[in-house]
Amino acid sequence: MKAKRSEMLTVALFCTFLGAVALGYLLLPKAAFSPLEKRNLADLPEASWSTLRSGDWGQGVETYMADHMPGRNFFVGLNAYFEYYTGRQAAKDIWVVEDRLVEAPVQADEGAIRRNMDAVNRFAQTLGQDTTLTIVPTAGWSTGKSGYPDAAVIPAIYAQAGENLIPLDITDAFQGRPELFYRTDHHWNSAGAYEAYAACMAHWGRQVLPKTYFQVTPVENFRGSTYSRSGLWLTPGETLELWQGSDRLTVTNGETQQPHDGVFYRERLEEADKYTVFLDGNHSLVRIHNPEGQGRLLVIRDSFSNSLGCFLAESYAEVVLVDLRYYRQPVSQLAVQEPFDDILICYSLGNFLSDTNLVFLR
Amino acid sequence: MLFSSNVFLFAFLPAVLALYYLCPRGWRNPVLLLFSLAFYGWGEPAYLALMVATIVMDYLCGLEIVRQRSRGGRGRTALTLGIVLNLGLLAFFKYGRFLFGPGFPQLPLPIGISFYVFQSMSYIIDVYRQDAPVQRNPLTFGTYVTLFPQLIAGPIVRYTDVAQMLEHRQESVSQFASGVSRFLVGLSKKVLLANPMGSLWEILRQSQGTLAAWVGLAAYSLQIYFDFSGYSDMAIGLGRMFGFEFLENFNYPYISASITEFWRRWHISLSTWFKEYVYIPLGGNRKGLARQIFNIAVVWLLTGLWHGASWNFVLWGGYYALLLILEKAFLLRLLKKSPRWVGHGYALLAVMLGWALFYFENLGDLRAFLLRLVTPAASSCVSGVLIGYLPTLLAAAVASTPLLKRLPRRVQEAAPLRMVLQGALLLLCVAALVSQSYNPFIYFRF
Repeated sequence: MKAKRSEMLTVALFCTFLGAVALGYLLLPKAAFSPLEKRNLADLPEASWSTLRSGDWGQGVETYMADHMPGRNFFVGLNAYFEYYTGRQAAKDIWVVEDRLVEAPVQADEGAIRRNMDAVNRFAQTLGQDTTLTIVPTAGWSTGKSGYPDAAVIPAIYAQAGENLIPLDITDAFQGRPELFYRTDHHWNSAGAYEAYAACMAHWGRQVLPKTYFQVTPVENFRGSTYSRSGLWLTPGETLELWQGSDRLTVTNGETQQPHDGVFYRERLEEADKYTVFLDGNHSLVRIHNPEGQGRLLVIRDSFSNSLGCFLAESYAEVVLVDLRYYRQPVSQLAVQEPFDDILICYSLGNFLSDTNLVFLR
Repeated sequence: MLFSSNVFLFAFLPAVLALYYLCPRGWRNPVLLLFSLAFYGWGEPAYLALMVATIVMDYLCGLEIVRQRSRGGRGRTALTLGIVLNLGLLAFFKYGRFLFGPGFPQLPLPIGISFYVFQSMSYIIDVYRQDAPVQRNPLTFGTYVTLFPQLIAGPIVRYTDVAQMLEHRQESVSQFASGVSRFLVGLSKKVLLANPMGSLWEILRQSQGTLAAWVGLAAYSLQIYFDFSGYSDMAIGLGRMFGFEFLENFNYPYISASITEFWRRWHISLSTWFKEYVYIPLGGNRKGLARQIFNIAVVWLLTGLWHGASWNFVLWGGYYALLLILEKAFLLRLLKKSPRWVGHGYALLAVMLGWALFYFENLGDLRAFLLRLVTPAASSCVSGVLIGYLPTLLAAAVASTPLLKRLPRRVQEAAPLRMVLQGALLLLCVAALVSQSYNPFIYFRF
């Protein structure tokens, strides 16, 4: 039987596709790092008798091939849009709410709340000094979309505050105001961080600098973490704003002792994740000095305080930011060695619920 | 190795196709054998030895049956030995703990053992019954046992059905093209329907509420159908690419109007195997009703056990034995007199409840789930998921019926339309597979 033209074409196209991808694997240069995913891609596993026998080598090759698939980003995007248009985003961890990419609602876990509040309460009690606790609501909740439990969970967290621990509720400032968060990142933007700064200053009876005091530099084409995680590559970028206050601030962090002029690390704007422009991203211990400020502030924090810290430094002679995911020494010892006028524990709701390092707070 | 993996699609398949068609005809079975062994050894190379031992054992059994027959015997000793050895292997690796308790060493289950042991047994039984000629070439016999398209998840190919093709097959472009189409249908069933239905079941299984439990069970029923029939489609498609024709394994089981009909449409190669090698040899329906009921019970308890070494599978097999006996006794006659929808509703409900028995290995969990099905309770905070998955759920439900076959022939046979559609499906499948490994780190380098 003679084959039809369409049959020959089917066979040719199928074999060409398989062959082209296979050749692509062999010939195309391999990237070691994926800027979108912010992780190192898998290496080709080394074949040895023991890895072959255990099946690890086969596993490794599958991981390697998945990581280095020719046109990988195209396929990831195709899958993301397919799932989005068939309505399956409800089961994913990034939701599209109007023109925003926000994280899906947090899962309130009573056990995690109790565990972390116990740690925080114990810390405040041992220290014997007033410690302020602020939980940042999520960007998704600020849009008003249903399903976000922030308005119930955050008060439930505050309700467990013990002696010396003083909740500072900032949720009202963010309710129905998604413009205080980035559209393509899970963090608050500079305007959002300013709101929290203003609340803190009022809380401690300090002077709040007006918005007009800051000189705003816009940086275009920011695409943040929720963009990377969504795979929805056609989402337009947005403007990241640098609010420049005093030009006399200097920063030192745990790794380098050389003070950095200013709180913005502009060379970071060339990278995929521009949010690291604030204080150079995450470090275990960061000190911001301000020769015109007064008093000292300790912030126990997550990455939301990278931008908040820049504002707080306007008021204090020194702000010390501690990130418990990296800082392993007892913080209470630090507080005894160099006394602080104010202490702030500031976490985003998602991180507070999922964080497993707060228990190391001593 | 799984068909729905990057290694298979973009390394193994191109390599085996290229080598197979570049080699002269005489080399094609050895090429298939070699690649099939690599395919099998990919995940658990340790069991390659077991595979080779099975091949040698059954090959020698076949020869021995023929030798005994040439000396005037019937080959009964060799047959018995072969069956005992095959079942012994299966029992040792799959049922050891189930039979002898936790003292028995815990070994990982050799992948596909239930399939290839049954397949090898069909060979020696067919040779004994003189339904098939003996295979004297060990490489050809090895190719039959290890043939990678159906090695690890069926269909169970009986030796008689492929004996001819093993030695004299004529590959053709038409057959290859239909193989490609069939493979892509199977891949899409697995990746685009079964996997999402699996995620939906995962979410709904753990949530509360009656509606969530029912939709979840429907999703699981669709997952298991598309997963398994998708795998069979891929096997049939791949077989055609190499010039083999395997028998169909599924025929729209969810449109059945009785359980008797369901088992004629579900995993046909397994039901056929049990019918050919257990039910009929036991006497089938020729020795009176009491004996027939006994035979049905034996076959279905074994079918249940074949699916897994756990009590819930025995329960599942017993459940179907009971339904089938009831249908033989009076239910089928009753259903015939009722409107058609009654039969469909009954069969679908019975099958879905059957899948609940199939899923929960722990009887306590099973009881809790069955209670959820009948206790009215609101489904909390899953409405978004339910609504979101509705399009995929509906698409899967439609795809599990022959509705699309009712489209005008003109549409079904339009080659450009079919090719565009299949191309799109292939891209979507690859996209879904690639995305499984896409997991961005929020916090860079902990």
